[in-house]
Amino acid sequence: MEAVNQHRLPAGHNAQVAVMSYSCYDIEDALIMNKSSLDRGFGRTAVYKKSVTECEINQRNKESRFNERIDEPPTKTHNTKKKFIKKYHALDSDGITKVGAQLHHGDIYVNKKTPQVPDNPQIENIQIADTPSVFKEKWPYTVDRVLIINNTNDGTEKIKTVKTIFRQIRRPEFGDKFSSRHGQKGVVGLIVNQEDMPFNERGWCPDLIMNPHGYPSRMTIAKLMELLCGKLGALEGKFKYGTAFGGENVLQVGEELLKRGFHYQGKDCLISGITGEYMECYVYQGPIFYQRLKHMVIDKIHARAKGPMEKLTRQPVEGRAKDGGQRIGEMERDCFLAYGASNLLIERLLISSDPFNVYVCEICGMFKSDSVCRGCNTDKVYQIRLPYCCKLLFQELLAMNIKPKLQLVPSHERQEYTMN
Amino acid sequence: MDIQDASRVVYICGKCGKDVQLEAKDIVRCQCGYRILYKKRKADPKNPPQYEAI
Amino acid sequence: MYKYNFEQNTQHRIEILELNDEKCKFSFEGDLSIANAIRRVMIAEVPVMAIHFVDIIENTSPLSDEFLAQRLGLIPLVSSAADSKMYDWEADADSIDDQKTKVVFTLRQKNLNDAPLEITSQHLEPEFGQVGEMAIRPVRMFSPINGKEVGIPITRLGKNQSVHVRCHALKGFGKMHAKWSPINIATFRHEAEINMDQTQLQSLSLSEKNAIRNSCPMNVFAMDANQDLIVNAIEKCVFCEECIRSAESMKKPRLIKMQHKKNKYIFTVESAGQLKAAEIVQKALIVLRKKVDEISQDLNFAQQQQQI
Repeated sequence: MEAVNQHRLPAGHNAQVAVMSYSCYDIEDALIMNKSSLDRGFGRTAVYKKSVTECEINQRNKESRFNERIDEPPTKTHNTKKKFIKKYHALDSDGITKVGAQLHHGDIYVNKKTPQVPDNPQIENIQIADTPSVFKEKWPYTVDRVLIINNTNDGTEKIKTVKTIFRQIRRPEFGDKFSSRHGQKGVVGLIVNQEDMPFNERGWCPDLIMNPHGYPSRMTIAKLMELLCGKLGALEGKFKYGTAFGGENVLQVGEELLKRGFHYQGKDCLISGITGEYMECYVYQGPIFYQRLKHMVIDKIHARAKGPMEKLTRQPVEGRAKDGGQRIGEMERDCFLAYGASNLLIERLLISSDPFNVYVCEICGMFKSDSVCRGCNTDKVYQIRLPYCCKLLFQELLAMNIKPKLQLVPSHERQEYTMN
Repeated sequence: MDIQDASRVVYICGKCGKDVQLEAKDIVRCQCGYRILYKKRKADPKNPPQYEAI
Repeated sequence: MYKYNFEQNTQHRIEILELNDEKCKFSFEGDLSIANAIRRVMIAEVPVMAIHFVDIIENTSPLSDEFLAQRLGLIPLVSSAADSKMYDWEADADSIDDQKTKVVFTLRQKNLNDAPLEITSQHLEPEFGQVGEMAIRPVRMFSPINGKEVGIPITRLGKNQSVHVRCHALKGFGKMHAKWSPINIATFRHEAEINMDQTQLQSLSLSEKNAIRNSCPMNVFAMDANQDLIVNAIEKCVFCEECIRSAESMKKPRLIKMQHKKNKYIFTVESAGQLKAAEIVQKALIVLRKKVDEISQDLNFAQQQQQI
């Protein structure tokens, strides 16, 4: 602490913690938070993101008129569309975003232009392409700082670099991760109004409720000590040492607490905020230093209805960054199977994934491009629907001289599953 | 050096802290020779960003 | 298990124990559910004014815009006149900018000196120029050291830094955001009831009696003229059960019985400055009354509908 001056520049808050169970939203290390504490600024963080825009010298023609440059935003004329102009709202006359501007998805923050080198370099009128930096985050950020750097003497192919730093202030919400300094991490399971929180007759009310099941298996005695010593330290207005190696003597701390009218084990008699009755047990309660961890729900939240598909298999792509789908894996499939939800299975694995209509000849059992099989000289060719990756597999097998023959069964049941 | 013209964009030198004014074609450089400039925040009385105090 | 006692709870009575502008302490005789309802309404539903929207015209202070807005929001505003204002959702769209719903403050400061300039709530200037006791303005804060008026710190400005913001204060209540909560503390406790077994008490030696008396951190017990242990200051008891622990160590576990007294609760209300402490209790009762009235009106209406 003293060695790195952590007590002067803390990265967290002394949360008033009540070690108790509340509302069942605190199982599996989840935390209950007091909404009023969050309103007052508990656990707020600033998240900064950096973006770099570079103006480069053209590789094909190093004349200065072909250099990339930053232009002023387009001005309003009678035939420009409102939507088009709106993208440029944050820009100053130098073509770079204002400091302090709020940026939303799709806004332009550096209006970069790239001149196109024509085949004949003598041509005077060169085409200039728009290559702006577009803000891609889904939630609005504020521009915190803008740096402009001159690169001309670096020996690089760049002329100018614009670094933009965005800022977002985030208050804790459901699913954000918090931790004390004893590795006792947990996510916010519920945010409770202050009037519903337990309180004591002094008017004390917890910022945070932690489930006692975190203690027995992890044996974080230091956290228990931190709470007890912290409580006395807060009452005395002094720093205390919570370490087991030559820190405060727990018995002495208990005695001191008793002198100040508290229970000697750090427990307090709390009243339920919902009913107003005294709780039937004493609650271990006091300050613990809590830090916010960088895993935040807003960075991980993801949902999609339709979106990009993989080229090869025509199935939805994977991953949040690519706006991908949520995978129904083998085990999930097993669950649907075991439950007998066959229509759900068809929907998830075929209709919402990669449905494909193809003609199949009844005689040779091969895929056909239309409703006639010229090889067998027959029109007994039927359209079936199957996953595109199934068709892909068959064609790959064909390519290695294995012929998968599709056997068509004239079934009236087949009609049921045909959606068209 | 305090610059009065409100419509112009003003930068601050990263080394000497003085205000720098640039034209579109100018080289990005302060009088002191430093080549990193910060953009100065301007007052925006017409369309100020509004925040909720939450 | 909680049981409503119809016979005992016919009368509700309030007795004031301590009263000044900041603090109100009173005992409440009556039902627990009503006591808790009053406490909850004081925290969450007494309307006051607070800054809600902040237009950042210029901000070169070290704090970010959002940070500044939040700090401005948490400044308590004197809200005795909040009743005359409307909630912004009650007003029609035309009168949104009206004085009916909001109070606007501007804060415009620039530091031209080398020494840092502290911006406090004193620099907030109301736009409509309200004056007097009923004006909605930031609460006054006085230094605990020399009694001078100091104001609530918002930010600090270095040389040539400036801040220019426009703050819109709206009416709201604590359920929406903690800044609209008029209380610092609103709590009650059950009064203790300590019964001592007299026959066991007689068998104690004087030193044992003294040990029990001294075990209590809040000095609830005392000795009377006959050197008998008596309960002297019951209102101080915090249910720490130290006396029971002490008696247990003397092998007399049933000597002291401690109970929560039903039907009597001691409230402590500390104001955050927007309203006077007694005003908060009164307004909470009005809000509570209004809710009950609404239910009974609805009930009457439903009955009339059925008769038709």
